[in-house]
Amino acid sequence: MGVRFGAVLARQCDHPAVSRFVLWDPIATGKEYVEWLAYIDAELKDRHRSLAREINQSFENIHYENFDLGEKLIHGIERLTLNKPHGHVDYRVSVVTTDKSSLDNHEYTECEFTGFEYRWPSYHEGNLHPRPVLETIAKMVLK
Amino acid sequence: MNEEVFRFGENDLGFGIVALPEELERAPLIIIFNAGLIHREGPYRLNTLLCRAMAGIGYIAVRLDLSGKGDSPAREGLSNRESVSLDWKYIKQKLTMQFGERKIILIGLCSGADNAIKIAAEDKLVQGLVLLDAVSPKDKDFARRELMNKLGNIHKWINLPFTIVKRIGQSLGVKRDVYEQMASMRDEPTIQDVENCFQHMAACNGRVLAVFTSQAIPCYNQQGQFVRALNISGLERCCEEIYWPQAEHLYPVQIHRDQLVRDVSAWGKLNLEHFQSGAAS
Repeated sequence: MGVRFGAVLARQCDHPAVSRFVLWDPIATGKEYVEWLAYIDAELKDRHRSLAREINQSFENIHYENFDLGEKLIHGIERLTLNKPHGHVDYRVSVVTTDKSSLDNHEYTECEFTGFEYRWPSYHEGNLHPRPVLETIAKMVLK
Repeated sequence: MNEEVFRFGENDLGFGIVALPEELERAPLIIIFNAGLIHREGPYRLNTLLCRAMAGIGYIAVRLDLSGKGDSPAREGLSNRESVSLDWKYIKQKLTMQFGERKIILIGLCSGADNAIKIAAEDKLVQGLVLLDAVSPKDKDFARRELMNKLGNIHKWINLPFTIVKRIGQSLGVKRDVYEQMASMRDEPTIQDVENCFQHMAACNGRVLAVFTSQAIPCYNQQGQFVRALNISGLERCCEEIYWPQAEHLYPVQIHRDQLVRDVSAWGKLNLEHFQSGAAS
């Protein structure tokens, strides 16, 4: 099972012993994930620029310095993808999605919409998920 | 350092992780509460980092989920205060059974700090507090400082038209004040809780570290304000304050998180012997 980029990682375990993959709002490629991280960082930086203005200080005084992934790791992540080359359908994949448009992705043999659409947060501060989302995931896992 | 599962509550359904130091014998106990609805790891794993750092310098440090948060199931029919109080009874019972009676230090961010204050107001075994963005009472000069800060801030003047529109929108109910809504969900300690808690801290020669970030600006705007506004004799000797408006409430920036862990660890090191000495009074 994998959520977001965790879905890409889960799909790397392509072993015959794996009978099913349950993917929750998967990010399709490592490249997209790296872009998402860069977006988070940009948004955080922006928030801290506002904070600096709020307290009448220069941005340098905030000492903004976030995590650094390193070039090699980024390249490694960027090479990973979720799906097989087009045309190959893996019947072991079940997807739970909060994005209705994912239902049109024909590479997913089984895709269930949770009934809720929400934008994944651009921060990592303990995301709270509506109950129907968690129930749909549980249903897929226990199927 | 080792980490173990810590269970408490009815049928042992409450869940936490305890980080153990190498020297267990005289180690004081630290308990870190949930910040808001975030599970025991804390925002950006802050609680985990704090626990491991404190265990590294000789404390038994527990990060746990109070009922209704993280992996601990909710109780029906109890108010937050009642549920926290019941949790605390079970947590202490379990910790005493496992480690014997020791001095206790509570750590909490935001509503975690609120819970720490409420518990310390009633439990004499609590002899230390690390409060991250607790609600601070205002001293008599607070409003003047706030006004001066605003008048001297060019950005405030530039933003003034937007601020006026926003305020009008809020007063007409067109635009919602998200922060006010969030604050209204908070179950803050009462004035009596605050007085009982800090009178106890002063009386038992406890130790308090209070950190205030940008989130606290509406109620705290100068280092030293907290103790001054509380006006409890002896508290100035045991309470240390850090005013850090450059940091955000949940420490999303790694360098800020690291700095906080260093500050709390330094405070912990400085007071380790104090917390080790004798039984809890």
